[in-house]
Amino acid sequence: MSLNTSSKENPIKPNKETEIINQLDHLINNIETLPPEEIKSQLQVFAKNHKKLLQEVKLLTSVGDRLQKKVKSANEMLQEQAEEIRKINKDLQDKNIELQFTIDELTKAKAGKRATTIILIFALVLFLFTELLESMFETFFTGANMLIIYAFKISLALGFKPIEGLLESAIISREMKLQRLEHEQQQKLLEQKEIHAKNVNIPKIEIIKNDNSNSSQDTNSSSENNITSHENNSTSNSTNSEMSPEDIAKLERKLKREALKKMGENRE
Amino acid sequence: MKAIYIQSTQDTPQVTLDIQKGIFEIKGNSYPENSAQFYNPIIEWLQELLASNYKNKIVFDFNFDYFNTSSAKFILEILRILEEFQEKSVETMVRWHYFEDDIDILESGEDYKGIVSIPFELVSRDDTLDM
Repeated sequence: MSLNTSSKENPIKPNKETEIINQLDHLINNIETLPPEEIKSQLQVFAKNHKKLLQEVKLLTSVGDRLQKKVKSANEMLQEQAEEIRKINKDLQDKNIELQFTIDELTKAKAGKRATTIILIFALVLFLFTELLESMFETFFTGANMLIIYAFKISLALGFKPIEGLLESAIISREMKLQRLEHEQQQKLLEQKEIHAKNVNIPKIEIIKNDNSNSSQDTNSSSENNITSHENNSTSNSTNSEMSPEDIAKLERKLKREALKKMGENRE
Repeated sequence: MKAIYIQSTQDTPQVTLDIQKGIFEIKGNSYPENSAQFYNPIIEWLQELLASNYKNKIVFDFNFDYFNTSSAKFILEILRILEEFQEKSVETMVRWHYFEDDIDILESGEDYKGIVSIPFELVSRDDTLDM
């Protein structure tokens, strides 16, 4: 059994355990020369020290056990929380898919409605146009019968449906593109927010040179730790490449409002 | 004798040993990288005080939030020195502070109380007072 483990921590002073072992070694080596009273007293000292060490070992074991128990319960709690987070994530993913599906359906419905409206207007215009042209046709195709005019009208009427389909798909692709752009914008915004959150702990204090009271008020309210400078009298957004948390919040609110407005329109 | 004041860090406790003011206190977290390096000056200071024929009452406050096993060993060593004060007829007392909901610190205090033969008081701390 080695008792020199803690001597690495304190190389100057020999530890208590080593000292006790050395004393016992000394007693064993000189047992034949020492008088019985001396041996008895040294053994009594050894027994006392041994008792102390035993108490110490018991205490350390009990403290160690408690710490181990604490670590175990903390680990269990972390695992439970991780499981909960996984569940919540899965639910969120499902909801996201559902939401995306609904948004797509709404976009399609909206595009279809728009295409129908356009086609109806187009048909109306064509109707008026053909009515005007009818007299011209009648004079132009004098020998022929009215079949040519009817064929022209029928071909126009049959052409409405494919035109409507084309228009619908064009509108859908435009809407999708818009949505994608919006999504990208939101992603950028989130990234900016994350970068800002990382930097917000570092206090940035620069001198405010602007005399404009309004913009300095904006600057003061932007963040307690983040006082940015405005060297000209233009608005704060145009001068700062880094957005303040309030600006980000404003932009987020604006985007949410727009999204809600769009969804409302789609429902209508 | 010079007083010892050690500021607390994330892993070491705040230590106040002042015979003029009669304050003997260790407070906070104790899980230093090298416990011997941290606690040896405290132990040496106490041994010096023991050798200096100090006769006033000692009330030693242990106010731990957390301590590791190697710190536990040095805490016991401090208690053993306090026992020696008691043997030298110096009135000595230990106050072991713990939060009501911190059973680990309370149980450790009970363990120490069972080992040393000096008046040992377990004092419950109120969370709100420490804030």
